[in-house]
Amino acid sequence: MDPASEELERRSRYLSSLIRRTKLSAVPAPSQPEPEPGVTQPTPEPEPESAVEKRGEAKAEPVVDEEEKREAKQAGDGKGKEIKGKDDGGPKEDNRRKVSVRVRAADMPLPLQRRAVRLAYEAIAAMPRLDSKRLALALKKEFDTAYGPAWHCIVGTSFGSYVTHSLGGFLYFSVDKAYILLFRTAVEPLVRPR
Amino acid sequence: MSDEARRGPAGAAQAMLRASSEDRKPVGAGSPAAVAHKIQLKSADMKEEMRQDAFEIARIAFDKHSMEKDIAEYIKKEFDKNHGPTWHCIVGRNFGSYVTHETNYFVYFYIDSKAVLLFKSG
Repeated sequence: MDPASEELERRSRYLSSLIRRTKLSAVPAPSQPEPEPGVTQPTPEPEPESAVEKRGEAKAEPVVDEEEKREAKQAGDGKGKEIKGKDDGGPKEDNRRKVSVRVRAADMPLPLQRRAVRLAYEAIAAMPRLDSKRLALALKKEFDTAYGPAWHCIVGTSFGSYVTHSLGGFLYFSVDKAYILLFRTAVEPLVRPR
Repeated sequence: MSDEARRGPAGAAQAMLRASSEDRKPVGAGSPAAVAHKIQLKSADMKEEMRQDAFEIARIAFDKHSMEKDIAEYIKKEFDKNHGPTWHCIVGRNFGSYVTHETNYFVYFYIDSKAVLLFKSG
């Protein structure tokens, strides 16, 4: 067993050398508790900011994935107070006041929600008076173009509704005094394409 | 549920989608409740028989319920049951709309001082 003994001797010599080297490195730094520097610094990562959400208060309604379609029941003015469209926006309020945005019910991916809310917010801000039909048209066309047909939009200050929508295609929110219902239904292909 | 099933009256062979728009603003104050609700047709892409059915169901709904969402629910469910899914109903005093509906399945009318939008899609 000469080679085995030689290997053992060599390993022993290496370990002794390593120990001696460690002791030598520890001498010039007596305050260091550990001989080997362990670099394990905790790095707390900052949480990603969602500044876009500042505009509205998103309140997602839990969806039960039992059926492809789900019936949603919404009331425009649940408090029973009838707000007439003619009285929208007081003439005295010439100053730019805060416009509240609130998502009241949703079964829709967040990017789509943000898109709808942003469009509605900007459109209403540009309107001196609420033009329900024009806003409904703008929203429907935008979503039909971006995400495919068929979308439906209802805009008003006082209405109730009962609709059936596709999965992931329902949003009910309010911008100032206007309530907006945007939902999607499945489209069957035409028998004879034109 | 029943995406393929689309039962309806004879003659509705083609399923062509069409866009319709309705806008209603309150003109006068609320009218007094009459014995028979007064119905005023504003826009329709619907056969006479089905249209009359809508009026009758709407009258029943207004007698049964007082809240707009309940009225809309009643009307929609009756039509889903009698004329095949899928129907959508909007009831209110002030709203504008822009929807896509199947051909021959759209009606928009006033009953007393409230507007009713009923259409089929999907």
